[in-house]
Amino acid sequence: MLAQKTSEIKRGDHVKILHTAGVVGRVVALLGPLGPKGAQVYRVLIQRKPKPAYVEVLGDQLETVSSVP
Amino acid sequence: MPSNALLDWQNNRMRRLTEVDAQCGSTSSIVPLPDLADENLRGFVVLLSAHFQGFCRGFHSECIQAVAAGVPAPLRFVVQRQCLAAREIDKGNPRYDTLKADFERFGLDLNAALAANPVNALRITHLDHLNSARNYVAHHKAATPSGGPLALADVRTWQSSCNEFAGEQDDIMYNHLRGLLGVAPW
Repeated sequence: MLAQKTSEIKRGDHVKILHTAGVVGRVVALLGPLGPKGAQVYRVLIQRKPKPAYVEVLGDQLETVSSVP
Repeated sequence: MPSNALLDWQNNRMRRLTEVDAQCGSTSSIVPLPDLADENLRGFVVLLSAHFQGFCRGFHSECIQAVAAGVPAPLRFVVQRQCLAAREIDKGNPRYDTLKADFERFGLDLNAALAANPVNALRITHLDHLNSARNYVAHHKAATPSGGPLALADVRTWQSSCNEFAGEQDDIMYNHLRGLLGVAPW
């Protein structure tokens, strides 16, 4: 899984969430400047059992990866 | 200073709704009243409910990020995850009970906060009427909740109350989060 920091995160990108135990997911929406000082907020779908979950995070918490295992 | 969600409500969502209002006004002045006037009015009701739901969801998300910014980086994800888990406004209409359940996650008593302004009771009643009308339209029910036809004047009143309620929510959460965090949340 190749990881890189990026400032251009787009809907559909596969991402790793930093400062977690390797949580990965897919960006499903850009919610707008709802973070501190107008930072962009991303809605990320996390594949986990028993059912997928969503989380909303800031761009500086995300790292794009080539794919989600 | 208003939240970004409130600015979006005021500068984008309200502007769009005002255009729909104008369209309703123009078709409702035609004699005999065309079916299009009724369709436009039904559309206005659903759009008003949808935009208010969108505002409430965005505003709640902004509150989450403000709180998450106040904790160490390794805990941010936990706060963000917990505040969003099973959030009612993600799947339900913007009823007062829904808003109360979601915003009280931040540790305030919304009833008590709103009681400081006596006008809020009427705004909550209007929100209830809007949701009943929204369900009447969206589910194509046989009879209106009020028993009479939908009226443009009522929808305008509900829009006005939604707008005032949005500003009130913004003030309440600003003061509450500022007290919790020690800094302005937005």
